[in-house]
Amino acid sequence: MIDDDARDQRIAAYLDGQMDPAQAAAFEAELGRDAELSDRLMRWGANDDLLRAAFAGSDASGADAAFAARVGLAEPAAIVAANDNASGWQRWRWPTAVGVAAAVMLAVLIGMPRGDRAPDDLAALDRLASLERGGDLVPLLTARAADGRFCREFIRPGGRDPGRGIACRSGTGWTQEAFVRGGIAAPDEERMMPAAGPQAAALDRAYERLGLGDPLTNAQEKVVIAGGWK
Amino acid sequence: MSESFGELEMPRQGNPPDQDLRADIVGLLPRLRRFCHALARGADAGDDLCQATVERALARSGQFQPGTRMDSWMYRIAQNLMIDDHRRRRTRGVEIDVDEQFDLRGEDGVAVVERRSDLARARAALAALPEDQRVVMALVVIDGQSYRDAAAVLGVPIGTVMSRIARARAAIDKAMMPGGNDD
Repeated sequence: MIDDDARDQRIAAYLDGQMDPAQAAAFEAELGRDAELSDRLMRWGANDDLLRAAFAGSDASGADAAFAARVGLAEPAAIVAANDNASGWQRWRWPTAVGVAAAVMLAVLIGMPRGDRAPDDLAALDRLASLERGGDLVPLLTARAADGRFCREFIRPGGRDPGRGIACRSGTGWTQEAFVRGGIAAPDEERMMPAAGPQAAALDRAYERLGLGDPLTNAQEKVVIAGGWK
Repeated sequence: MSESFGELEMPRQGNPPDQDLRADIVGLLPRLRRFCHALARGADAGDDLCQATVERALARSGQFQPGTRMDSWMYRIAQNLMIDDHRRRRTRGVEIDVDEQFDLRGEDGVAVVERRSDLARARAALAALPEDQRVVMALVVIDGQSYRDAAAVLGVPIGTVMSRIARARAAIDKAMMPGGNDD
């Protein structure tokens, strides 16, 4: 029984990604030798998938406006996407951030000059179009938060404080809402951004908290920048 | 696999605290609803639980410590509300009917057909778990939290999370076997 408990805890830890690489490798070797263990792992993984699917219909993709109103948290509408779909930032985010000309992104990420970050480099978000470089900061996209503020995801590939973050505009300035430190992974020759999957995962929580809608199109962004972010 | 990457900062400026809190709750609502649905064993009861959780969080907003995790705070509120509800039901002698909690009727209204579907069986298997196991399944499998984060939400050691989630999956595995859910 104790052995069964230990076995089951290892299966669970493997499924949940809670093993370190050495533990995972040892467990995988054991899977190759033990058909019963492998079968149990497969069944447990399949059950997990069923549970996620069973609750995926619980509006996991974005805030449900009707329920938000029910609990008294109705917020101003975000900019309506052309296709009228509910905010699907999880659907578009990576294609939007990644689906840009390879030459542009490589130029952004390779050979960035080292140097100190300007103390108010977020102010550059006022004027830079997405993917336009300004000093050490490159905005990636613009979207509207559930509270009506314009927000921008950006990267800071070099300088003293490299990383990836989200800033939102209120009053006359930008507020950094989230920032994940860490060097931006250099792109390889065959694969484009995202620079670092874990950075994106860490920012996912900020996206959910802010209730960001679909990203603005280039044309919409130009209008907003020209209009002073009103 | 590392549980965190880099250093996530959430500075706060500008808006009054209540507006920030409301904005945070709006952002958290999808995950909170999903968690409440899993915890309360059904969509209707889950929405009721979610609403009660939001109302309590807003009423007790002064107790939230800025800089700490909003999701952990609200998940604890939801769980405490569930415990309170169970105590009241036990006092009144009310039994929770899992089949009533889940609308297991298919589009044609035939309960037997829907009940036999894999998704319904999975939901029923989760609903049949003891609450401590159901909560960790909801946090780790459905909400995707790490063992460390789930332990922080529940206020238990990581080892307890590991033990509960292993037992939960073993019970679900048994329930999902052919004939495992038949009376």
